[in-house]
Amino acid sequence: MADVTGRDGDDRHTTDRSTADRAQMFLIGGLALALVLVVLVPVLNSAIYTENLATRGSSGAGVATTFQVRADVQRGVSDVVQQSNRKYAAYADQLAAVRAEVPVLEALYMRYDASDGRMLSLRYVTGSDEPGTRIHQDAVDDFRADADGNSTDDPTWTLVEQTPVVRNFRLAIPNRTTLAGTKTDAFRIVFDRDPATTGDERTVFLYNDGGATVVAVDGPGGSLGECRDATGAGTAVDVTAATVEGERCPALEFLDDVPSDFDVRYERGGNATGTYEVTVKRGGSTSVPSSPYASGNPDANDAVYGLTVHLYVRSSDITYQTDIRVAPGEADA
Amino acid sequence: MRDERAAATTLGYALNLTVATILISGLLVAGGGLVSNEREQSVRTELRVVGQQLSGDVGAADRLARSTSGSPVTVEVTRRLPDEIVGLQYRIAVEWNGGDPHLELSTNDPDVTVRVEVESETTLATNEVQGGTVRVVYDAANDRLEVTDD
Amino acid sequence: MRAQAHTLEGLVAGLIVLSSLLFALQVTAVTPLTASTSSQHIENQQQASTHGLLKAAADSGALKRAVLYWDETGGYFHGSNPTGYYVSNGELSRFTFGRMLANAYDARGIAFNVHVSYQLADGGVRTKKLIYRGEPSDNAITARRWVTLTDHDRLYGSDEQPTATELNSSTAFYAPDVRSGDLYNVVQVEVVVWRM
Repeated sequence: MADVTGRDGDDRHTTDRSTADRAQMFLIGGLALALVLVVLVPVLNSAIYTENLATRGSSGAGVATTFQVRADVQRGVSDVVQQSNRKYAAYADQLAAVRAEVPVLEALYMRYDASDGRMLSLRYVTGSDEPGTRIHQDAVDDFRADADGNSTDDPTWTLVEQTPVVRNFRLAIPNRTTLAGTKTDAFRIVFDRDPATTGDERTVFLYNDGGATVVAVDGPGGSLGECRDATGAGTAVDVTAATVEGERCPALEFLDDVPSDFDVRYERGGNATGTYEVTVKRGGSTSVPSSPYASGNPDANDAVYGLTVHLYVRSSDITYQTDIRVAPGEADA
Repeated sequence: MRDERAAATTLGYALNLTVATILISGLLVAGGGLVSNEREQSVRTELRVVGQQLSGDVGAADRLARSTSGSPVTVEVTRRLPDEIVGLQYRIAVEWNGGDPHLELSTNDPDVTVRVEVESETTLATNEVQGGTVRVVYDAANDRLEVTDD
Repeated sequence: MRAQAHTLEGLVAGLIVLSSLLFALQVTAVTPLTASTSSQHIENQQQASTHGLLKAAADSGALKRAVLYWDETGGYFHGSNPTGYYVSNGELSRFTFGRMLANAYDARGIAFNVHVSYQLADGGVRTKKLIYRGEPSDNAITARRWVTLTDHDRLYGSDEQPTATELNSSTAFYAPDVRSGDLYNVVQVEVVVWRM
């Protein structure tokens, strides 16, 4: 007879074994699933990191700072040029003073950037200086001058002949009642390319129309527009910046269109009273007549018209190097 | 009388194991599929983000380059992009396309390509770079921007 | 004995599976959005708008006038006695730069500080408060602009008109004359902006 005593135990054993194996299968399966999910984690983490990266603007801040440095350096050198032009009489002294201040400016600007890990270098580009003449009337007077040297003021006179470009052309009329009442009698500034021919000029008229200063501009093709100012008792006009009393005047934005080498002339200078200044560039064929300025009102002094500096900015993200032309008050500077 | 006979026991045993195995492996396959899907989505999103950032940098370099004049002129914008995306290496291709420039970022496995538009007035040099630290350099002699590896 | 072993085995197995699942879920539950990224967007926006505002102020001359808005007799910015800096909108409306900042930011619940830094002859840098409205939050941004001062720049009166006092003849101005030539000093105006 076969020995069957252990059969019950065997059966239980088998059932137990299959259950146990099933349980182990579940265990391994659970572990593997957990492993799979854990593998998902670095994938999603990477996505989270990139989402965060996405919020950081591009080197926007670095670029904006670079533009800020460029603009501030240009403005700083501009201020130094204007200072030197007023302080010294001879062109050589003015230029030497500006050149001496450029490394000083560099040191002062660099001081602010050194702690941010930004390096800055500024130098004057040798031979880039542009000589000019500053014509100015600082005392309130009419806008006439003695053009022909006969000791009487003429209402029509030429400020400068054949200049390539002007900058910082500002007039201040403290009392608009000194202006003429109509456009035909108005004081006018004429930008004339060829004095021999007519019809190619641009003319700026300044007159008082019933309590409001009118700045009207005429070009070769007719009127270019006008601007009015009725605030206060007087008016300040900036021809190169195209503003009247600080407000933008589109009609005055004609200077870019004047072809190079033009005369600047005042006509009916007796019909306006105030102060003015303009800096003109001395080009190849420019000539500044001497007789209007002999008396000292208005006055014509040497001035630095403009120059070029070289800027080099370097931070960890951005390197930027360029020439910057400095011409304070120029129309498109 | 016992009804557990040798065949039924073996069958029951095998069936138990088989069903359990099928269940578990089914779950694992689904899980694996989920991970792979998520991975591809992640790669796509991240490539898009990296592409947009680089596009912004190219636009910034273009603005800087247009403000320069004279000589010598340098414009260099450096950007530290991640070296790997979800553990994968990726490539960035710059195409000028005659005035309609765009970037194409791609990885190999999974095969994902993302296209990002770029705004630039300065010509871009057609080039391909590996991911990682990238520099946008202005070549003044040829008046064009080049995207290079560091 | 075996039963105990089996129980233990089952328990440990269950624990391992459970803990690994919990770990996986917990790590992925880190939400990448809300506070950190949305405030980053706001920061980017504020950075851009502050840069623009500073550029407009510098171009129009309002920034230089604010830097030179100094009361020579008292030794402080006009009307800022006794603290030496401006706080309220009423005080800010005295000068153009203050009005520009107040118009741009006050209605939107954004606060701002303005610090003016200047250099000393020995190379040090000192900072002075111009406008102070409290401690900035963690998500504040800064933007800055440089103002170059020359010896013959004039101080401005409380009506924002130039006075007759030039910088090189002033005695109580906060920044010293650091260079012997025409340059007086270079001042950095830093604007700190944050959401209240």
